[in-house]
Amino acid sequence: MSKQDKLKDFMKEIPREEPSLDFTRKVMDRVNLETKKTSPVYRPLISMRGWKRITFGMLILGIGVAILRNYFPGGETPSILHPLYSLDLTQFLKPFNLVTKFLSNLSPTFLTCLVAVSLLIMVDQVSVRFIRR
Amino acid sequence: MDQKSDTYYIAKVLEGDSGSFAPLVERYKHLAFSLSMKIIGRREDAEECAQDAFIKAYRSLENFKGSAAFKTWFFRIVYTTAISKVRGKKTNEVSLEEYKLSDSEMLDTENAVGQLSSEERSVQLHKAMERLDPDEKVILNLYYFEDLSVEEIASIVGLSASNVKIKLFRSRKKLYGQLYNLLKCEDALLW
Repeated sequence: MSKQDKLKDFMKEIPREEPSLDFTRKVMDRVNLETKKTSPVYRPLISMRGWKRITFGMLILGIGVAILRNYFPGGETPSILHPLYSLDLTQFLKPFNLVTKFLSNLSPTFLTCLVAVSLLIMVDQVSVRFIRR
Repeated sequence: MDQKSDTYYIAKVLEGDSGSFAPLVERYKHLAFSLSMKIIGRREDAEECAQDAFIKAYRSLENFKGSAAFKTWFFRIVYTTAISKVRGKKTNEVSLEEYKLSDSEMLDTENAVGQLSSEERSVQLHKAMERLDPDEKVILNLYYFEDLSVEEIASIVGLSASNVKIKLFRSRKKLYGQLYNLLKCEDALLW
């Protein structure tokens, strides 16, 4: 028997070091965590916080305009507010008019479905937020 | 007993069945832990290192080309993970003066080791192995314990086959040197 073979036999006699009994479970727990981490998460284009900010901003703007118009009903208005009075709101409403025109051409069934789907998406969004809390 | 091949489980994992990774863990946990122990030395750290290696393998499973055996590919991950853990850390091994054995002394040592009881031989070999550098321990372990070829070891440790052969020769000689020291010490105590 050669020297190498002898050493191989000697080495094989050394008892193998064993990992802990729950080694596989520990690894698989970490693997499952990894899987959860990498699974796709649905993210809306505009977050709930974003929508809140937009709504708040619009509300403030609306209230502000209403208050200012009440304070200065006509005639003597500070020059700073002139651009506000000269605003032609019909220009802003043009896209809405186009949308309304487009929607009126659609069938009522399709519109009902569209509204239903939109509502479902909204409910889903809100419920997901509540569940997370 | 489950006898399905590694590639079968790898394909299942890549299809999204993460549970199919468990048989691979079960199959290679002993080797991963044993290799980590040889390099790191501390049981807790070695276990953590082996776990990290499995997670790294899981993450990069899609990069496994299948040109090499999964075992070799995975051993390379275990080796690099363990080496990176010990890098920079000072080993607490006792530095012993390297004694160059003559051929006759090597033969005497081998005979002396052969005459020991199996239990005593394991103890002495274990002690001698502990005194080697991590690289040397790994190469000896992979060659003599895991029965890997020189080429497979080369791909794991990132050396050329000829370098592995040289390291293997030197490590073996160093192991005998340590065994010689240990047995000589015991003899001196007996006297």
